[in-house]
Amino acid sequence: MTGTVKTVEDTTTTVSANYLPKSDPNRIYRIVGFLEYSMALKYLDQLALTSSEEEFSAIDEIIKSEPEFKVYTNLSRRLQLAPSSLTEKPAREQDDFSRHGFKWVTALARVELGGMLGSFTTHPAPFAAVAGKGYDAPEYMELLVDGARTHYWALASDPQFKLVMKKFTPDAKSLTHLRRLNLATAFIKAAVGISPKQFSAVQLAELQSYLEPINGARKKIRTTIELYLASIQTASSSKQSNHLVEQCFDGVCMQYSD
Amino acid sequence: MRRIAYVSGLICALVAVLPGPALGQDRTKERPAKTAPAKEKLAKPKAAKEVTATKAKLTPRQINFVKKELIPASQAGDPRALLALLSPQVAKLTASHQEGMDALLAEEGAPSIGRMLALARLQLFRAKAESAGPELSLAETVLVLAESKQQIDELLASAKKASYMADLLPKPDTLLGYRDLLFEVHVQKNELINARELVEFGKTVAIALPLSKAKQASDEQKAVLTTSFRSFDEAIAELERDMDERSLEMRLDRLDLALEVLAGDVGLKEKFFAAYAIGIDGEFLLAGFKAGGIAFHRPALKNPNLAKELAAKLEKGKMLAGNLLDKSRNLFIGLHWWRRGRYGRGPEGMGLLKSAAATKSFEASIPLLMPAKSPVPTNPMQTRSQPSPDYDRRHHYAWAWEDRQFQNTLSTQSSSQEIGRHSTETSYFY
Repeated sequence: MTGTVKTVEDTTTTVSANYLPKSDPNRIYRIVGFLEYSMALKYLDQLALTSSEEEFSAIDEIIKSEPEFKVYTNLSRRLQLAPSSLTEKPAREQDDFSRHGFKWVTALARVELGGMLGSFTTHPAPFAAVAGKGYDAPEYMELLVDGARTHYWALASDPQFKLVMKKFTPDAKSLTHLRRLNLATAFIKAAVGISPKQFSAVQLAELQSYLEPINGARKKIRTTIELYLASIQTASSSKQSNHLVEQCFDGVCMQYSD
Repeated sequence: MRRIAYVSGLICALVAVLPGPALGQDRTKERPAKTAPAKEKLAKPKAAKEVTATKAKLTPRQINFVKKELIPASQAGDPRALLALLSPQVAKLTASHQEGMDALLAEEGAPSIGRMLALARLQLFRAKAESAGPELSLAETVLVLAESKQQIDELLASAKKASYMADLLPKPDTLLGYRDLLFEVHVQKNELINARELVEFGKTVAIALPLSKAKQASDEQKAVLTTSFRSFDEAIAELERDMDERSLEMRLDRLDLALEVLAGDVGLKEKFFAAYAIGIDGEFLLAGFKAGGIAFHRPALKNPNLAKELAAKLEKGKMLAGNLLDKSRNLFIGLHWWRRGRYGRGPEGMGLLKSAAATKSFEASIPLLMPAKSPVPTNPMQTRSQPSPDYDRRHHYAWAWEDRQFQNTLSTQSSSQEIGRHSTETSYFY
């Protein structure tokens, strides 16, 4: 037999790439409290809008008769490392910082919700988004500033965090600490941004001073992630490279405006 | 610190600084809610009195296995890993060794082997992932079935002992008294849901054992293998019906009291409770009478004019309550949700997380473990083994969920290119 056949050359290219998959935007629904506090505020805010002062007193009385609605504040004092202008003052002698009442209930729900949005979404202003109409603004601010202090002091005294910052490892722990830094940033920015007039110049300066090391740490991790993603690819197109960086910015490396 | 380190996906960094809650340590005080797992019950350690010197029967290797491998695996909460470790061992254990291990586990405050196995298999059953575990041996099947039956017996006994199950239905003087009673019914009904789940689980396990293995069973084992889980169905249904009827009757009584309060000269606080009772009981009662029809067993519900009288009372109650009806609803439903946010425990991530299904389904995001009794918060500044709530602030801990990871891909691309045509000659035909 005689015939014509084609000759084929096979080329095999192996592409190795590290990448950061997109985060699931629905993951926040797994956090216990997200649905619950959202629903609580839906009903309680509606109630606050429609209730008279007399009714509000009765509502407060009901809540105060139930110990389960008591909320402790000033939790940051257990972590405080140095004197602070932001230290919460006791409201009375022998104050154990337990607070009880309708506004403390709603304020706690807001802070928890804001914390969840700040941790697991790219919402640019998570705490402003849940601030409501302001009937509980002083209580909300107190818990918010306590949260800002807590996260700052916790980071400052955490040896695990220091280890993460010392040597970058491309793992879930680094990403999680970056989320933690994002959350701390969101708390501090919200504390300053929502009601700046309530702070003295010294207090504002202290809050701002919290941001410097946190921003520095965030920037360091973010840059290291970008470098890591870019360096590990053994073969890739420039388009793919940009895509990786975009994914990095999707949440975990989110930037905050100053 | 120790506890959080057991949970995959949660890092322990902040916990080193912020004292963590004692989840998983003292959960037996609480009862599960809704479809919440009967995990607490299964995880409850055996009574201390069972701790005997039988551990002396164990070899140093077995003691090491229990302390260094089994207990950490049990606390880690991964059913597949636990079963991979324990199931093969159980198949080979003698009765005295198992007894010795159970005694040692009790000493260490850990659940017995049977409880561990039953809980792990139940977790897979819930996730419809039974096949993910190793094949059941005869010994394991017996342990799991015996444990399941014991749990069902305990759940049913507890439901029967409730105060509102007494011959004479309690009749509190206050609306708060009714609230507490009806909450007790709610908790017990959830326990029955757990019992029903265990029944289904037991049925599944019983038929999973191959006949060839079942034939090797001793008489004692055969007695366990032939446990009639079906017979529990009827008992549970009967208890549920009875509870529902008692609950309806108590709500009828509460409705009368609420009408008195609304018509009386009392403070707004009491009227809030009364208005809520009118609203919530109205819904429950109308639905209950619609569902029950004329087939009620309790005499108080058999009055043929009851539905008509009820409608008239509700009408009057709504009129008396006025706009407090909506306000009380907003207040108590809002507080209910807040309470779930504050004290609820999810099934994963040390109670901080719901199951993955919650991202897709509203129904899946509802079940949470809730305290059966109204919790009293503890002062976070005072170190306690069991703080309440579990998390003083969820935002102090939830960030530590390791849900993202860098990934590495190694993709191979092949391309073919035609580079020419040639004449060729072959000597034979293919």
